[in-house]
Formats: sequence, structure tokens, C-alpha cells
Amino acid sequence: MTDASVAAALRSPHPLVVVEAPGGCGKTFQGAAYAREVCAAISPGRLLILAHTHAACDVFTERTAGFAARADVRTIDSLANDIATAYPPPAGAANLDFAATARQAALVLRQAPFVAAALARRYPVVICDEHQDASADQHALVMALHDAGSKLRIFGDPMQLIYASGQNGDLARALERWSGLVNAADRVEALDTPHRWRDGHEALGQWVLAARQDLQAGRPVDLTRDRPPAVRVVTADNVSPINLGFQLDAPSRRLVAPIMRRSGALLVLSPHRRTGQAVRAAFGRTIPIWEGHTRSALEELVAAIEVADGPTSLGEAMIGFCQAICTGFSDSAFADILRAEIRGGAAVKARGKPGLIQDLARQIVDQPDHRGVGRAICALVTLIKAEPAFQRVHIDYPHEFWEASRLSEYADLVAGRAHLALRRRHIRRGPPPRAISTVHKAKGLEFENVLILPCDAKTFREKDRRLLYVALSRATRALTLVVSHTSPSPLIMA
Amino acid sequence: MNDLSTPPPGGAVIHRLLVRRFRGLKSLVWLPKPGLNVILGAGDSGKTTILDAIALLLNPTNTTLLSDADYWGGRELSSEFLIGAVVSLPPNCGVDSQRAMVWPWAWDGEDARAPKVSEDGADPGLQGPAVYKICVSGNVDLDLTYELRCPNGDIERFSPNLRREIGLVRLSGDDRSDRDLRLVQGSALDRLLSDPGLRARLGGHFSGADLSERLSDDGRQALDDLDTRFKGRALPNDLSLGLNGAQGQSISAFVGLTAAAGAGRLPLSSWGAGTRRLASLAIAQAYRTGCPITLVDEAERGLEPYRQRKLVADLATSSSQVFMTTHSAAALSAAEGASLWHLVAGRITALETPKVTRHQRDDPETFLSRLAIVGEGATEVGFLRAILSRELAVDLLDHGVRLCDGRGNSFALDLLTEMSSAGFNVAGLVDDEGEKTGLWLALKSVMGDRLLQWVGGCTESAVIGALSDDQLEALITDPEGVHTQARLNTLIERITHENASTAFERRDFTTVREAAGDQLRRLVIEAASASPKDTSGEKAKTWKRHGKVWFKTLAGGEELGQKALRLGAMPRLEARLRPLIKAIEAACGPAAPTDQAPFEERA
Repeated sequence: MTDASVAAALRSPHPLVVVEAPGGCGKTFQGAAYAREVCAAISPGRLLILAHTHAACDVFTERTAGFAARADVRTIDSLANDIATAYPPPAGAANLDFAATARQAALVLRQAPFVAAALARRYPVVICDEHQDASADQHALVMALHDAGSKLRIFGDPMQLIYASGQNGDLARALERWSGLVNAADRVEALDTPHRWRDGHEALGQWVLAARQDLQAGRPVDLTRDRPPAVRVVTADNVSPINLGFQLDAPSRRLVAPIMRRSGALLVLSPHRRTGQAVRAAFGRTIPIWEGHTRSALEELVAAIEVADGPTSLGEAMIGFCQAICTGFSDSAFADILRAEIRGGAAVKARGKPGLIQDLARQIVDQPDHRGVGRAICALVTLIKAEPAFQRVHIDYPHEFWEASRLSEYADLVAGRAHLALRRRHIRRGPPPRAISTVHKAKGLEFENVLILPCDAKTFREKDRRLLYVALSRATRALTLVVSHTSPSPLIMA
Repeated sequence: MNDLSTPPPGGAVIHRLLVRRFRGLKSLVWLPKPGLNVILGAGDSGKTTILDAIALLLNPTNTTLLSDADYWGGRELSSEFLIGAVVSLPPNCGVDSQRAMVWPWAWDGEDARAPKVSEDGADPGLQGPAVYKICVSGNVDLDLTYELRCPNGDIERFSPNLRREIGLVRLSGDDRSDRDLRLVQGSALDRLLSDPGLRARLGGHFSGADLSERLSDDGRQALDDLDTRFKGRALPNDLSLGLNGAQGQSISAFVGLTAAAGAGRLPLSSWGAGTRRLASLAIAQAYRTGCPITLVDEAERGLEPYRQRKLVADLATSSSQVFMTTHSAAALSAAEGASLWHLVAGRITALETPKVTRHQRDDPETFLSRLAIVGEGATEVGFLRAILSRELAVDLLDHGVRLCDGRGNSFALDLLTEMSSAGFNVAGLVDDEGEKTGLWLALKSVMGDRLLQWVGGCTESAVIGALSDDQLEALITDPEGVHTQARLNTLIERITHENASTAFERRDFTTVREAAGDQLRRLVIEAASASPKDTSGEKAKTWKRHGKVWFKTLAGGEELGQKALRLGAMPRLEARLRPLIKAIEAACGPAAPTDQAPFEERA
């Protein structure tokens, strides 16, 4: 029934319609059908579809094929970039990051209302996808279009509002923005038919929606009853002594391993990057890590290089990067030697493994900038492949590692980073059929089989309700949770 | 927020026009006004070039062919020309729906600029509507490039489609201007019908028509023979006759409006030039907002004064921005509320003082003459007419000289100041009323010999002061015999006022002269210049009217001038009048040979 009322609300004359859209409930279907109708009738002007990811743009572009002349499908970042480039801040728009770009765009639309008016005339109708992920400035940008006369059709799911750790203040404000938006809307609808789970998998879909309701209402997900066969529970404790590590005892391993080996598409989800790397190691590194479309370690590396003031701090930047995306590049085995060599200017000839590490140090000593760091990283790849002394170093994030090594090719660091980001966006690699991922990077993905581990008091805390929902809702056929009885998550009743 | 965000109602408005190295204009920057802009200026000053520039900029098609003459000084001197404009556009014109976003600029009253946006707060300097920068340039290869320039440096195509949507209607001076009455691409009729498939359907219809049925038998035979010959040479055959479009001209260009004429129908293009122009305008105004930018070259063309007035009054009240040139007093007089501009030597200047622009209604020829000579009042106009017709060997009218009534000291100052700063050819003769001395001095320093301001007096006092005592009777005597007694009466009234005991047995000149004694000249000057002296109330009002029976009319001024010549005042006025006369002579063009002797010799 609500599919019909959502469709009617979208087509109503109301200026602001908000549709709460849980994953898999036909949001894209509804949005695209509405978009096609708008395109067929719109004149003058064009339809604007604002998404957050290029993947989502691709989906909408495909579903509005034939209307390219009447619709612009783009990321909200790219729209903000256009505005900030057209009306740059006094210092210029060349080096603005995404956040600063959105800030400038929101300022422009607020302070030069004729720009918002021109955009609103260009785009009489704006469809926003996954709007819960909009930052304050992105939201202000969209609302400025609304104030200038654009009809807004906003899809979003506050239950999928998850940010990287350490941004809890932002998270609270984002939730506030969403409820403010719902209050301001002329009409609010919710999708509640789990279309994604068809052909015999409807029970899983119903269960995911019920779990969503429980989590949203502050209740735990009850795995003890009304659980369809597609939802499986394995009881096993993470016995790793290392923070964010992962290790199972032998009996538990025997329970989990067959699930890992089962054929078909599989997504293994862990809340933390570090834990995911440990999971990968624990199962013989047969499953690659899904690196997603962002490169947080690379961003940190670039930021550290920008503020570095010599070989020593450059070396620290490189070590931080390698330790984030490799396992085995430990202080004791590698990093401390590298530090010492850089400090000493790689002056005293060394042999064997120290000699190899000295070669890395020399790259940075000889060219103490991003190019030296890039060369050192490049050289490290070769060593890991060829040298027995490096065989315990494993690159978990090969694409990110590759991009870092390419930094040596650019005279300008910022331009290099921008070019690499552009290239990545252009290639837009999808996840492999079997992958290990963090929940954050799995947003928007769907897999036949999903394995979530470990589910315990550390990984899914009370405040991780939305994180758990995003994890649960990735599965289309079968879902397995590895839960702990000794340290249970407050969100899971098992 | 203020109304910056919404475009003004009506059509597109050019706020700033830049013409560089186009035809006769080397470089022109102009900030025209919304509504009706009347461009005045001598022939060949470039008025039509401005209209041509706007027409090229908003040309609805890409078919214009350039020639060497479109480049300032030819292409040897100018390898390119540029016509650019800052415009505000109507909301439905489609500029917002181009394939790429066209970002608007802010208008600061002078030019388009990017709004200053910062964390410190809103840009305070923004005024008026959002604007766009459009331009067309011609390069050394005679190619035209149409561009829209965005604040980010991006350049978008300024497409024919968008130009068509902005709309342009042109009533050109060209007699063959029936383009808008035909189905030519981008014409007013084409826009009005807005039927994109029409031309193709008409084409199909025409090409399907078999005209060979109309052939005579001989003609039919000749065509059949040709067909046989074609077959023999393996050329396309089965020949017939149909309508064929020519290169660069589609058949639909021959489709146009027709109207009932008597029993039959005639193409509208066969009507007179005036009717065609009015019809083109009506078609253009019937489309959408009906506010295309309108160019009217020589508004008077083909129209009687009453139709000129109707046309211009319509243009003056329409919501379109209009650019008009005219040489007609009737047309200019009807341009009420219009912005007047004077184009001279590649520079265009506004006439802005409301009183001055109102003068266009009362005496439009002031602005249409080669030389406007402003007399302070009727006396000065009449006086100058008498003097100049004697002094200049030429007919003033033949030389485009207009004598106009400045209607008082203060207005004459406004008119002369405004016109001289707008580059008009002006001269002036004014009194010294002891007011606005600084402004008059400033104006004198600009106008030089072209301005004569009597020092410490007026024309009457100057002329009468230059007469000898025995000429005063002749001065008072009205050659027409009408005003002589009235003049004497004003003198008697003034004498009685000064000395109540004076009795007048007779009211003739002799009696008056005796009563006045050595004060006669003073009294004549005071009466003739209508000085109220120390009177007040009703009496002062009466005294101020005394001048009317003396020289304060056009005829009176002329009488004063003739008397100045005849009664021998001129030699004493020579030093003051001669520079003005010489300056006027020079402004009339090459000095005409004169066989008149200087004043002294004649006296």
C-alpha cells in the first residue's frame, strides 16, 4: 500500500516531500520511475538528481537513459564544486577539499540568491538520493534550491546514517538535520515493502525490516525467535589479545570456516578496518579486502607529507601509512630500522635485510618530499614480492598502496592526489565477488551471503545501532552472525 | 531577501554594450537604460552601427555573411571586432536550461561582476538583476563566434536558439525589410508560429507539386525530349517541374503573410514601408512576453506624423527595451519618458536632467539640428534672428541652425550645460541676473565664444544702453504702430510712481521726455526689461508684464534687433557680439563669403 502512497506523494504538487527509504525497499525503482515521468514533461528546465556516490549516479543514469537532455545526474559534491568554481572564495577555488567546497557553495547560494534562483529555474525538480549522508553544507545547498523554488523529492534513511569513528558530534547534528527536514516537509512517506528479497527470500527481507524497527526503537535484535532459516547464528568468541584483532579458537574456527569457503558471493563484514585485516589473516588471506572508493590512509599520508619538515617526519608519514594498510610492517621488524636509517642519512653501508631497509630510507633521504616517499613505497612493493626477509609483510589494501607509490610521478603533491582521485572515480572498480569489508565501505552494496563477525560488546555497542542495521541489510539470501556469549553485544539477543 | 533573485518583468535588457572595432565604431562603451532609448546624433555618427551591432549580437540565425566593411578601418587595420553586452534575461528564455549551466553575474550598476561571497557576510555592492555576459566576435577569416561568458572563466555557446528566445525585432531603415513578415528562420513570424516541423512539411508539400501540368504542348514536348536524352545518358530521369529552394534560401522563405486587399489577397510585404514596419512590430509583440529587444532605425520612415506619434508612443510605453533613431520632430516629441542619448565622435552621452528631456516634447528640433542656439527668452531669440539673418550670409534653416527659447535664465543654464556636455553643437545668448554665477562661469569656460552672457544686465539694457539719446523716440516707436502708446503708458506709470506730483497733460513722447528729464534712458531700460523696482503686490505683477509691450516677445526681440542695427547700436555692441557671431558662423560649417561690411563702416 505504501508504495502507492509514496508514488502519489512524489507526484503531488507539494514543494517538499521526504521519503524514508530503508535499503532494498524499491527506493531506486520509485525514484527512477518518477524521474522518467518528470523528464517526459519537464519544460522549461531539467531534472536534477543528486546522489552521494558515483555508483548511485550510474544507477540513476542507467534508469533514466533516453532522457539525458532533460536530466542531470550528479554527485552533490560535483554540483558544489561547480558552484564554488563559478564563484570562488577570495583565495581561489583551486585547493578546496570537498568540505570547503560545499561550504563555499552553501555560502554562495545564501549570499547571492540570484544564483540559487538561476539554479532553481534550471532545475524545477530536484531528487536527492541517500540524503541522510548530506553534510550540513550540502543540506543547506539543497534547501537553498528549495527556497528559490525547486521542488524537492528527498529519499533517505536515518538508520543508514553512519560516520567514521570520532565524529559523534557530527552524527548527532546529522540526525537533528534529518528530523528538522522531516518536520519541514509538506509530506512524509516511508517505503516498507522489501522488494530486494524476492524469489523465495522474502522471509529474510521481512526479518531485516523487523530488525530495523527494533534497532530504531531502541530494542535489541532478537535472534532467539521468529528467525527465518536464512538467518544463521554461530556462537564464537573473538579470543585475540590484541585490540581490534581477531582470532578464533580451533572449535570455533571449524564452525566459521565452512561458511567462509561456501561458494557464491560472500561479503564478510567487520566494523573496523583493523579487525577486517585480522579476519583476512585468520582465514589464510584468500579473500581480498574491498577497498571502497575512499582512501583514508592515503589522505592521511598526503596530509602528513604536507606538514612534514624533513626526512624524519616524511619517514614517519610513510611508516604510518604502511602500518595502516599492511600487516606485518611492525616497529620491531622494520619501522625502527627505517627510522634509524633516515635519521642517520643512510650513510653507513648496511647489508642483508637492514641493507634493503636502508635502500628505502635512501629514497627519502635523497629526495625529502612526496616523490621520495612515493619511491620508497614503490620499492617496498618490490621487496615484499621478492625478498624472503619481507615475506611476513602483507599488503591488505593493494590499490591504496599502488596509488601511494604513484605519488612519485607528480611534481605537485596536491595535483597528484587530485589526479589519482579522478582516476579512481573514473575506473570506479566494483567489489570482488568475495570480499572482506568494513561496514562503512559496504554501504550501498548487496551480497547474496553476508557474514558479520565478530558481533560482541566491543564491535556493536549501544551507539552502533545504525551500524548493525547497515550490516544486516546487505544480505539478499543468507545472513550469518558470529555472536559472543561471553561478551554479548547489547544490540543482539542470542 | 530583496528582488535581486527574480528577473524584472518584461523582456531582456541590455545594461551595458561594448562595441570594439566594428564598422565605424572603434571603441564604444554604453550603459543604456531599460525602456525606450533614443539615439540622437548627426548623420554618419554611427547610430545605425549601434543598432546593427545589437542586431548582430542577437541575430537569431548563424547565416550572417561578414564583409571587410564590418571591420573598423577594414581588415588591414582590424583583424577582429567584438560586440559584447551585459544583459538581464527574462526567466523563460531558456538560458537556465542550456546543456551546461550558465552562471549569472551580479550587476553593480556599472558592469557585471562576480559577487563577493565570503564568511564575512553578503556583498553589499550588488544592485539590480542577475545578468549574463554575451558577445559576438568576428575574426580575421570573417567567421562569427557567439559566446556566453561565465564568472568562472567558462565560455558557453550563445546558441541561435537562445538568441531567438531572447528575441529581437528590427524595424530597419532598409526599404526591403519585410523579413519579419516571412517564414524566414528566426523571423518574428517564425517565432510567433513556433512550429518547428512547419518548414519541413511545407517543403514536402511544395516539392510534391507537379508544375509541368501547366506547360504548353511545346513545352511539354521539350521536357519529354530532355527526359529521353537523360535516359540515354544514364542521368536521373522521369523529369517534371516542381518548386526548388535555392542555395541559402529555403522555399519557405517565400511563404509570408497575406491580407485581404479589395476583392483579392496581397502579400503584406507589398504594402507601404510604414505599414510593413508596424506589422512587423505587431507580430514580434504577439510572441510570448511580447518583449523582444526592439531596434527602430529612423522611426519616421514611411509614416505620417500621426502614425509616427502612435508608433513612438507605443514604443515608449512597451515593456521592451527599445533602441530608436529618428530625425523627426514628431517622433522625438512623442518619445515621452524616453532616455535620450547623443552620439558624437564615437562617444555616447545621456541627457539626464528631467527638465531638459521634457524640452524634447516642446521643442524637439533643438536636439535634431546641426546647431542649437539657445536664447534665454523670446527677446534673445528674436534679437538673434534679426542680427544673424543680417550678419550671416546664409539661411539659418538651410544650415540646420535652430534658434530655441531657453525659457528663462535657470532653464537655459540647464539646457546649455546638458547639451554641451553631451557634445551637441550649441551656442547661447543669456542675461546676467546675478544668479548661479559660478555655474555660468564654468559653462563659459567650456563653451568659450559660443556663449554670450551680457555682463550685469540683459539684452534690452545692453542695446538701449548703446543708443544715443536722440534715438530713444525711434526705439519706443513701434513700426507696426500697435505698442507705441502702451510703451509710453508704462513710462508714465513709472514716472508717476517715482514722483506722484508729475502731471501729464498729454501722453505723448515729448511730454514723457520732459517729465523724465535725464532719467529717460533709465526708465526705458527698466520698463523694457520689466523691472518691478521697489513695487510689491499687484503693482509689481503689473510692472513685470510691462516687458510684453516692449521687446519681451519673439516679434519684440526681432524689433529690438532690427533697431539695434538700424539705430546704430551695433558698433558699441561689436566687441561683445562679434565673437558669438563668429563662433556661430564657424559652427555652421565653412564660412560663407559675405559682402556685408563690418558694423562701423555701415554706421
